Order: sequence, then structure tokens, then C-alpha cells
Amino acid sequence: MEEQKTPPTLEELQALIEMTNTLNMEIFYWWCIALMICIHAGFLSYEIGASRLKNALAAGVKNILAFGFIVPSVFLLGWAVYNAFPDGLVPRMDALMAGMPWSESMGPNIQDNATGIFWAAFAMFAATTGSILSGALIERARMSAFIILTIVLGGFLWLLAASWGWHPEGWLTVKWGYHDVGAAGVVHMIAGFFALAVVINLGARIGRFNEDGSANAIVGHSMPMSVVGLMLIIVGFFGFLGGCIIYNSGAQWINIYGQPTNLSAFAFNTLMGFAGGLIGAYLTTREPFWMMSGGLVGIISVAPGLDLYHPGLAYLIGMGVAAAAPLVNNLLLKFKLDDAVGAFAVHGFGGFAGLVISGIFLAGYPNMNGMAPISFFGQLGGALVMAALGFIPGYIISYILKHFDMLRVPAHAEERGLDMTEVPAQAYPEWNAMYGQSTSVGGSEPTSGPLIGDTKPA
Amino acid sequence: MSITTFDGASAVFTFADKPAILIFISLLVAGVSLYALIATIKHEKHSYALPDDKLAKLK
Repeated sequence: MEEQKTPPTLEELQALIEMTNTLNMEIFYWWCIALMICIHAGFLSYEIGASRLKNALAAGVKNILAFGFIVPSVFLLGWAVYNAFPDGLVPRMDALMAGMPWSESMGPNIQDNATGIFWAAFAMFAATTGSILSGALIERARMSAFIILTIVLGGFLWLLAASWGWHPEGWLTVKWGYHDVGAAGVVHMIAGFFALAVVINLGARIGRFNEDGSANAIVGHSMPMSVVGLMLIIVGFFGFLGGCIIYNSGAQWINIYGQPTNLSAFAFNTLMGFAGGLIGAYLTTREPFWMMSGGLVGIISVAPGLDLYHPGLAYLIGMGVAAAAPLVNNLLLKFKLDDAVGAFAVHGFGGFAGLVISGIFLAGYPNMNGMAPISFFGQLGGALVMAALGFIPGYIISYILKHFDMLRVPAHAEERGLDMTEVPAQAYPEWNAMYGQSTSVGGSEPTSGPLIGDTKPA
Repeated sequence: MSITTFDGASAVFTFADKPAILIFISLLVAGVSLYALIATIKHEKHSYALPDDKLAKLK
């Protein structure tokens, strides 16, 4: 006689649904993380292409090392910082200890499906900040200085910023109604303003400026590589922005502040901001490097209100801010600031403009649990906090490194090229066979080979 | 620590289940990062001091 199956109880069904939701949440963020690695791959390609042939591999090594140093930094300290500092500079000790690497949740734990996946997403955001910094410094920053700076930026600063403005109980949101769902301030502004501060102390590449203050173009060796890299960053942004929304088991998606939203809203405004950015930069430059950078600016500029903007408005905002970004980069050149890839204009300015504009269009939108609603001054104040949090530490640390002659490579190494100097590999071996040593490519003639100490950093 | 059932199990780090060992492993991770940074500084110091002809031979 066939045994009759008993139907599942309500409790069993509920447990089944809950576990399915938990696994779906994990799967969603798992693939967001994979896509976010495309951001790093994109920056890698972008920066190698933007470097002259003599510095191509050094730019790549720098970008790869950023990943290798930032991930353990976020594991050792960054995750604890994010969880512990939503009130400002005084940590919540219980949250701090729970985020330390010897906590039970900071490793394989079959009762915890969330911590690892969220930690990994945050580590990828951290890697993005390191990549933003990396591009601004190519061709003359010491590798060791970059490592120190990127650990501070990616392993600590961005997580402090996120704790303040990208946390359900962050003080910027609780007190000022700060709204930045797509991390324009906490990721892009922090990294952009940090990069600007370092660029000020680092100085321009040799040959970038003439004595009368006019600028010379220093052209990277492969614009196609840069442009493809930028497109790869855009692909990765869909993982980045997916990581900015909370999978709310059994209920509607929520943003990082707990307000209801959905991926449809993000899809509308990400693509429309991107398209607007492409067009805006095309209108002011007509060239593909800035067009693709403009696409990034477009997304970054609408990132604070991805959940709220009308897509048409997102297009117009993206277009306007991206049209202005190349002009901001030109303004830096007037001050002899050599941001090699326009990192400040794209990320710092793009994020700042996006936050201020969001204050105009999103003011009055309610927040959760009695927290302050979105306001113009809350967004402006939040943007200024992000600018300061990125700029001030970046300036101080790079100033100290400069003081001890640890920030910049010696002039002779810069002139002969960093690949030949410090990378035991060749980017394009055939090039040497056809044209001789690659040090002469990109405008600088080979030096006679002075020893260290013969020349001071420019 | 070893377990005989998965019911109620959470974080099981086999031999490394004591806070002191986990802290030691974490310090090792930090130490490796620090060592890699120092190695980078040494490599820079060495490579910046080499003249061009020596570098060309190394390639």
C-alpha cells in the first residue's frame, strides 16, 4: 500500500519561503559583486590606455595592487568602521567588536547568509575608490605612496563616509535628511576630493606645463583601450548600483535608508543619466574619452536620486553636469593641477553637482522613522562634509609623504619611464624590436641615466 | 573544534576557534600587507638607483 504524504505545515511552508528569500538575496548580491569587479577591470584598462607606452605596465601594477591591499584592509578594519561610526566620531563599541575579523560573523558561518555578501560588496566599493585615486596619479606617483594612500581611502575613509551618510542610522541622514542612494557622495566625492588633494601635493608630470602656464597635452598610448575600459566600468556600475539597493525578503526593495524603491527605478535613471552624460560631454568636447567619462558623470550626477527622479529629469541632469565636467578639468589646468584622467572632474565634481541638484528637486521627500526629510541644505551640507572628509585627510597624508620625499618618483625615473625602471616585464616587446627602447615614446627622450640622488623630484 | 551534527552549528573554524588564534591570524594578514608595502619601498629604492643600461640588460 502506497504511503500517503502528509502536506507541509504552515510553519514548514514559512520556513521554506524564508530560506528561498535568503538564498535569493545571497544570489543577487553575489552577482552584483561579480559585476563590480568589472569596474576594477575597466579602470585597469582605462588607466593603462591613458598612460604613455613607457608607463603602461606600471599603471596596471598600481591598479592591481590597489585591489590586493584594499580587500584585506576592509576585512581587518573597514567593515567594523562602517558598522561602528553612524553617530559621528564616537564608535558604538558593540558594533565595532562585531565587525572585527575575529568575530563569528566575519567568516564562514552557516547561520549567517548576509555578512559575507555585504562585506564583499563594500570591499568592491572600496576598490572603486582606490581605482578613482589611481588614475589621477599615473606616471609619477610612487607605488608605495599610492598603496599607503589607497589603504587609507579604501580601507577607512570611504567606510567612515558610508557610516555617516549611507547607513540606516547615519547621522547625516538622521539629522539632515541626507539622501544619496547611489553613493555619489560617499564613494565618488570622497575619492574625487581625496585625489584632488593628492594631485596638489604630487605636482604635474614633467612636461605637462610650460613656464607661461600653458598646458601641453600628454596623450596616453591607447585611447581605444581607455574607451573600452570606460565602457566596462559602466557595465560594472549595474553591479555597483545593484549593491546600493536592499533585497528585502518577502517585501518591496528598500534603499539603504529603508525607504521603499525598486530596481525599475534604478534602471530608468541609470540608463537615462548615462545617455544624457554621453551627449553632454559630446556637446562640449566631441571626443570619445570625455564622452565615455561623461557617461560616468551622468550616472554619478543622478546617483543621489536614482530612486526618485523622473527619467527625463535624470537625462537632463546627466547631460548638464557631464557637459560641465570637461570645463572643470580645464579649470584645474589653469591652476597647473595635472589630474591625468580627470578623476576629480568626473567623480568629485560629478558627485558634488549631483548632490546639490538633488537638493533642489528632491526637497521635501519624507524619510523613515521621523528622520529629517530631504532638503536642499541637508544635501548641500552633506556634500560639503563629503568634500572635506575626502580632501583634508588626502592633503595631510600626501603632504607628509611629500615632506619625506616618499610621494613622487625621482625625475630621472619619470623621464625614462616607470615600466623600464620598476616593472620586470614589457608591455609590447615587438615595439622595442621595431623602434628601440620605449622610453622615447610619449614625448620624453631617454635620459643619460643619472643615479638616484642626482635629481630631485620635480 | 569538531562537531557531530550540523543542527545549530554556526561558525566552525576547526582548529582556529579561539579568539586568540583568530586575532593572531588577523595580525598575520596585516603583517603580510605591511611586508608587501616594505618590499615595494625597497624595490623602488633599488630600481630608481639603477642606470638605464643596467635596466635595459635586465629586460
